[in-house]
Amino acid sequence: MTPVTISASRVRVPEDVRHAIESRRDVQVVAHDKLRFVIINADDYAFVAPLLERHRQGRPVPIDELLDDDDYAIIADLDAGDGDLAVGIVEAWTDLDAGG
Amino acid sequence: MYPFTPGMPVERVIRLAADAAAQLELHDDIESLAAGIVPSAPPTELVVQFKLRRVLLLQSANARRPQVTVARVSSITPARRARAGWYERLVQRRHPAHYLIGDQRRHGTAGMEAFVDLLSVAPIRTEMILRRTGYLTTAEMRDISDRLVKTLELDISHLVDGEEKR
Repeated sequence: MTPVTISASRVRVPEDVRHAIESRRDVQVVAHDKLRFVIINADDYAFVAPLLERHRQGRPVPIDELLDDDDYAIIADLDAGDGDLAVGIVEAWTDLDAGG
Repeated sequence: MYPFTPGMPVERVIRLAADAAAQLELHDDIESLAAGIVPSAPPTELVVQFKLRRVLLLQSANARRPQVTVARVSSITPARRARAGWYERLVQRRHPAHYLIGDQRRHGTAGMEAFVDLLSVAPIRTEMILRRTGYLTTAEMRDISDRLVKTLELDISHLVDGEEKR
């Protein structure tokens, strides 16, 4: 998907936001507590653009590339939270009735 | 074969006499118990734990299909909420695999925050579903579908191409 390119003169970026972007910090633009836009550094965009394009084309992206350390900690916690039940019973053994 | 997953710890019930109190014998995994059981042995009594769990139906459950695919629903504990990066993405609906529920009464979580885990998707027997506790709207289920495409790493490129051609 071809990006829409506009001149910088058409966009008013406050000084603190410009400084944040230049120092490689993402800027999240919210409205009514909802995230509307994210402004990122051009170098960062070059890094994520291929992944984004792949997603937009409907092609699979390895889910591991979308998860971070927090996510893996949560996943480990989910397994630990169930304790012995985590590995649990696969399913009811109803096939016994059918001689399975 | 046995109806438990490998590595599951179990407690075996030992009855020395009909009038004697039963004793429990702990096995770290069911394989070690199974290794000592001969084919002609009578059925073995086990003590098992269980708890009820909420799941999100990903398919229509009907009587004609014995199984239905569901996603696990988990609660948001203080420890999980403390993972600020994860929780923020969850609240802002930016998480690729987890979907926040519980902010609506119709979600059926008794007012508690919870999340649908699209990394834990599995078929279960339809008859194992005890009751309906809540529901998600069509728009919410569309968000769920978006995440399933990511977590299952589905290739829907031909569908996307079709959309563009219309």
